[in-house]
Amino acid sequence: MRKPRVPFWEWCVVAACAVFFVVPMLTMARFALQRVPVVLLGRDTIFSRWTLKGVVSTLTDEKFRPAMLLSLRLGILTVILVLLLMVPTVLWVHISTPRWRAAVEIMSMLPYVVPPIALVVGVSGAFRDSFPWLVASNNGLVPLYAVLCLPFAFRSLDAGASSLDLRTLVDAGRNLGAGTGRLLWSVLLPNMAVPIAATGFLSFAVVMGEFAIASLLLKPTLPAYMVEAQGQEPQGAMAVALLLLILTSAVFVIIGRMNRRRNLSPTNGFTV
Amino acid sequence: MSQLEFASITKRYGDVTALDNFTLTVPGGKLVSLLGPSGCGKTTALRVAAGFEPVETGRLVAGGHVISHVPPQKRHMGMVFQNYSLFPHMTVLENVMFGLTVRGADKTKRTAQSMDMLDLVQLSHVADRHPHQLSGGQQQRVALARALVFQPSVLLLDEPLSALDAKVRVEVRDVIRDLQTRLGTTTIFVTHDQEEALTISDVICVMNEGRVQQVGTPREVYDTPVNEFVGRFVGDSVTIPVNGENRLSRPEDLSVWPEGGAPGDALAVLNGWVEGIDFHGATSDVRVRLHGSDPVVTVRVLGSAGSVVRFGERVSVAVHRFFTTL
Repeated sequence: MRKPRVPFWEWCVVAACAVFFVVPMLTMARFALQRVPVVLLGRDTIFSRWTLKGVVSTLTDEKFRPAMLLSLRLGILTVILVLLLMVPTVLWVHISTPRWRAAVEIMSMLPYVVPPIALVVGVSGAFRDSFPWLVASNNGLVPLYAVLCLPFAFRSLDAGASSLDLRTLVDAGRNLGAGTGRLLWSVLLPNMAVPIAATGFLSFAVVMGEFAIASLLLKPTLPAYMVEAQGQEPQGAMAVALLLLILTSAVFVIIGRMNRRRNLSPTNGFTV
Repeated sequence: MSQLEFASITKRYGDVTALDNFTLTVPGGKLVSLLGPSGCGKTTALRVAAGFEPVETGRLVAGGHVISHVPPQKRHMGMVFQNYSLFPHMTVLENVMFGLTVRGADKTKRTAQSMDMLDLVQLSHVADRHPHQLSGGQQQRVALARALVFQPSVLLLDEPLSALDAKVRVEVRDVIRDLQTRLGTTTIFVTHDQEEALTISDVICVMNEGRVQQVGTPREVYDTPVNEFVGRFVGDSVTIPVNGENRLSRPEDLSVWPEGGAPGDALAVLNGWVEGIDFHGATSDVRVRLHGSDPVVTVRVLGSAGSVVRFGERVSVAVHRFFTTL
């Protein structure tokens, strides 16, 4: 089958987006990896004095490793919490109570309307007396990050669930003799693997880039460290930021490819 | 070959009564069709049988045991759904094996049984494919194999042909009937297509507004409908004026003649003119506008009607049979 031809103007839009995305990354790279004063960063100095010194000094800084490890730990814990909360919720909404979908969607959008400062003040105030250890511990960030991830998690899982006729699959499974556990492990989760993975990646990316809450609660996460490091070694901090940006972009490309593969094998379409 | 009995089952969704004192016995080994228009309660009855809808009043009895409160996974019934319901992440063979896997059959046994069942639906050559690689008709045949492989006590078919195109419908319908007869599985077949029901069923249960209208063999339901709804819903019908009263008849129970040429043994003769002729291949429908303010009557004739009458011609319609009770 011949692939449909992409119109010229669509290429223009893609090219404009690429420029918008790539140019800041190139300038970040120049700032981070060239020992040239910012005012002299022009066309003439494009090949001058490239070095990894700044990056190495940041990566070997004694505060970098704990900050990185903390962010990684928070990322993993947040992913687990988000999946534990949202996978059963989305399945429940799609299979048993579709009329609650709108309410759950609105609730998942709360982080868009509640600013981080309000979240921090509210949570700290509410839990300081009854669960002081939660507020004091670095792990106390996990529930707050989980709230921040709700919009992405809901949308990703909801889109995945909507593309399947979950209700019929559940009915078919039960009719064939499967109990709840077997249904979950053998039917529902395998079919939701791609949206679950996408949710995990997105949540992880959110945690690795979150600064406001960590800063307000004085937690030494990687983004908080990077802001601090900018004062001492701006080039190194910029290099780490670039690295994170590239990693996050790679994650989005992976998610895109997974979704594409999934769309190529529709569950309700067929070929003759 | 277990008998299934719906005993005075009523099912309501808010103010809507989906099943109203629904009573039906599905004899062991027979194929019973639930036939009716959309919203008549036929799918609700099937879902009640499968256990997906709880029974509020009345009882469901299978093989002499009340199963009203038995959960669906323990009813041992196979079901084929209207929407393609194969598990997308499993191969065809894994799909068919699922019911046996759940029941703890060992791998060699369940593979052999599943391949045998795929042979019966003539799809053993696609055992390694995934559902999205199959046509709609093939998917429904796999669903049928999956529903039958564990030898269910009752097979439930929820409009399994409605998503298929006309030719494939007939193929899959024949496969269903063939398998059902060969295996002797008690079967409930839900459809809104009266032709499908007439062709495939041992018994037809015509439903409307949650109530059973008539239960009988296809011939009984077609030839002796008990009320106007059944008469009009099953088969084509025409309203004809006989002795000043409107009566129901079938298009094939009328014949059309040049005016004044109707045979003397006709129960009634109606005069009019040919308003149109619809050619269907093997048959043609002649639409006759009766004189006065009477309605249009459709007469079915074999082959092309052109040799009998022409458009605009004045004709006589002879009535050979009508339903006296309706």
